[in-house]
Amino acid sequence: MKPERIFIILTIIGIFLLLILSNFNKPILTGEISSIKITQNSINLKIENHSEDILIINKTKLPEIIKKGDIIEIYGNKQLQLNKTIIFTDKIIFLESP
Amino acid sequence: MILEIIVGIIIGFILGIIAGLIPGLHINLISSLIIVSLPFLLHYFSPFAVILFIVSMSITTVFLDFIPSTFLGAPEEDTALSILPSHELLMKGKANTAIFVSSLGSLIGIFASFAIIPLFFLFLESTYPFFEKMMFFLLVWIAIFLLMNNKNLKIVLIICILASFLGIAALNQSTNQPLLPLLTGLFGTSGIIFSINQKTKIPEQEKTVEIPKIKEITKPTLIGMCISPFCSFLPGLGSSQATIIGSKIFGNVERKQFLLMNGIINMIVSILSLVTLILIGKSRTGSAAAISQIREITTNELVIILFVIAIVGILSFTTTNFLSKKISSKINKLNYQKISYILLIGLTISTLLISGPRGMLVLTTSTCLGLACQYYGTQKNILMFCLLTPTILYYWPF
Repeated sequence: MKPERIFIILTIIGIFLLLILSNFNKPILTGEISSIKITQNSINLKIENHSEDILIINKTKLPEIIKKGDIIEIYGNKQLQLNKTIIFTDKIIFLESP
Repeated sequence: MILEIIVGIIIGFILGIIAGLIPGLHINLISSLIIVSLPFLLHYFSPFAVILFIVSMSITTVFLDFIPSTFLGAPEEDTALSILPSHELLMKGKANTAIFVSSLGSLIGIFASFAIIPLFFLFLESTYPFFEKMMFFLLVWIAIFLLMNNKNLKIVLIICILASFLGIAALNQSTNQPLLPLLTGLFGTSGIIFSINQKTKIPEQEKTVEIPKIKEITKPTLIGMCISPFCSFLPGLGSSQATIIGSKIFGNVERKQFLLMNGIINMIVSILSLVTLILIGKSRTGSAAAISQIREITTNELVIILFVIAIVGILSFTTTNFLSKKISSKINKLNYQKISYILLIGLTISTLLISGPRGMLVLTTSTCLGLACQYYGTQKNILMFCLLTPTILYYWPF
């Protein structure tokens, strides 16, 4: 078999493994929403027992109804900008809703 | 205060030289290391001195980066259809010219950006909301443009799809710095393995440098000045892709002009990313992201930063060409295979340390895709779909 074909097959196997592994990601944040402010482009959250202000930019990934008191799990990447935690969410899971 | 600032600039310059000479050490990785060490730096230096340290380091790295990217990972010219312009000149014994032209481009880029900045101040804030709304369509147009620029469309499409899936899979991993193994594999280790397989021998390098004529400089400078402002706020678009788009829109450019233009765009994008940060709060580059975490920059401070960029730029240009001549006089006497093996081991260990086992899987997979691309003789810029596709999906408006 030609080397280019071998490398393509190995790439496909690698991508499948990575896609499978991404299902075993740990949440970056879990807790109860203590305050929430929804703006046109983003959502500002405060989670109980977490001091930082959380800014969710890609809010299309959020479920439509999100309110104070919901217990959620956030998956994605965290970044600090001007002392604000900005989260690029991959998904949000509702654990409990009051 | 002034002494503190000067010390910051000098340390930034020295670390920039070291970081630039280490292959695979991307400015985004350096920036994230700076972010981690910010509490320590801010304890000893004022915030503005730290900002100037980051600026000095990132500008120096842009220049010095041309040395490893020219001398390392070169395939045999006859067998590699996807050979990079700098590697093509290296195999012709003109590495010094390749580095001189690229660094000259970056130096021109510094002064060209001074001309663009006032326009940016005038128009960016008012036009950005429009561009943000159109971002998805702009990125799709760029993607189609890059695809159509290739000859073997069937193979290119396969590689493009695989690069897209790889990008999505890699960026969804809960690992530190997923971009490090992704880009190292696609553009670094794959090139090194390919050159080891081919037993590349570097020819003796000419000591003299072919200085481009004013006529040869004008066109790439103008194209760079036109294309860079868009590139500076379009996410997922690298300077090489911007150079290809620019050269296709405004008419084909020859190899040396391509390198010059790439240097110009690289530098203008780095500088404009600072202005973009001030005006719309978006950080397009790693260094701008690091600065964004210190504090906001005022317009007056920007003037000082630009002055520092000009000084550091001139120093970096001189240093780059001095080191290039030193290295080129010895490169054909060194065991290129041995250097490549050492480099490969170094990149693998650093990936394992920084990104962990999952990062290693990303590195292995992206190396395989980079190698497939090289064996097929496809242009490597198509691999940037690993970032372009996730960005397009991010801006999906429907």
